[in-house]
Amino acid sequence: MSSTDSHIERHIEEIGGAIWSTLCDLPFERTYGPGPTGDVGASTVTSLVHIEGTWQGAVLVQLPLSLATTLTGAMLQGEEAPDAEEVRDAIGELANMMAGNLKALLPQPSRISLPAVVFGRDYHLSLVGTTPVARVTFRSGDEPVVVSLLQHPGTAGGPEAAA
Amino acid sequence: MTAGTAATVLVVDDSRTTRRILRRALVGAGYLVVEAGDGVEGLAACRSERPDLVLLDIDMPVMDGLATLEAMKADDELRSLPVLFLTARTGGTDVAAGLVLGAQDYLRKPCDPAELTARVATALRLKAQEDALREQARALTDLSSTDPLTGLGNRRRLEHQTQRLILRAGAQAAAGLLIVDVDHFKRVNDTEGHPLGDRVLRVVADRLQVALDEPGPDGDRSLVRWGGEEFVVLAMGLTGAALVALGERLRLAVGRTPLTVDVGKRLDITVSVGCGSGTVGGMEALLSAADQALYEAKAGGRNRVVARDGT
Repeated sequence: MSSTDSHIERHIEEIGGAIWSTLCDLPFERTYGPGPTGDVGASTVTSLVHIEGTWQGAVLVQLPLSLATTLTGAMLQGEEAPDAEEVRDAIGELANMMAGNLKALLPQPSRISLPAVVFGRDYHLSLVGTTPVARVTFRSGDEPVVVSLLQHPGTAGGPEAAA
Repeated sequence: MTAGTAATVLVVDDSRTTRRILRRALVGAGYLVVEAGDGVEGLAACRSERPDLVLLDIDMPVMDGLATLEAMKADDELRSLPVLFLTARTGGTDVAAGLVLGAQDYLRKPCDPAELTARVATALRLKAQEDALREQARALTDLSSTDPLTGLGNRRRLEHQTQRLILRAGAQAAAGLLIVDVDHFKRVNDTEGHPLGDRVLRVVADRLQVALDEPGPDGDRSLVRWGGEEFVVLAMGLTGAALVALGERLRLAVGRTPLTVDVGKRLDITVSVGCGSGTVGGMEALLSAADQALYEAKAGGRNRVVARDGT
């Protein structure tokens, strides 16, 4: 954890660590520097949860499909490799947990949407009109994970004010 | 849950992943698990599966956890089901809302399996203690309204039954009241001893109960031991001649067969019956009329039925 981190970035790091340590036994560490830019890579999974209410924005979790599959398998502890639907649900729930925890730090009242999950190669997901509030990068094994908090301009307060 | 059977936990969460993770931890700890994907399904499962405990996610589509909890608390059948809700690790808004609505405890997501099973075990233990206390309270209430000698209800039982009847039928519903008094009971105690006196009371109680249990045209009838050698019957919807007929049936039922005291020794038991007719809401007037009628029956030579209007 860097001394220059914002309050919200520290929370994202704590929540991410808690999710990884509780739900799967995979390495997980914060990385600094520019990290992956734009697309995390080919074959990427992005899970997105909107936050609606006094504060409006979204939480995005992006990771390579290979890591998403490994992570899902570790969470479910099934005997067979998880199928696409299981990966979709698991990574959606991961963003849901992340958003649910971040929501509590934002001006109230606010609620979170159901997660939307995108699979694909070489795509760029853009939420029109939003600005990034925080972008935190991690590494699980050799693969990157990016968690972003985006805010719609003009909504009340900000995460720092609410924290 | 009954002794020796595993408790059933209902997991209500829209994420299949979370449900599977929770199921694995709970099944590993010996619980049976049923699942629902939202609040509406959860309420239906509460009714159909009768779980012992509910794990309820807050953020769900269709009906969220707080609305589900509110619906459960408004439902007499589901109100006492213990609920642990699943909420975010940060912040206290949802926690406070859930606890105010009546949830027993909460778990932060993602939840550690050991913490999950420990909290579930604690919640089930608390529920079992609560149920035991409720059962003890009910048993004490029964005990305090039961006559230990005859096993019949006592005066307190009749008061409770009267209140229930008033609520059900209204205070103006017609009712009759009989006071049945064992004739010359003091003489039995004085000459034959109290053990035989107690036996006489038990026999009279049994004969009255059997006679009241016989099929008849009348409705609710409650028999209690009022005190000493007096018994009271409250008969809903029964007044006038029909009430007297019931009194006559009871008198004959008690006196028809002498009580065998010893080899070759038998004791005749008779009762006098006072009848009061009126309304169930006018219990004092009913008692007063029946008491006056009983006095007249005694004065008239005993072993008879006399009626008075209690309106």
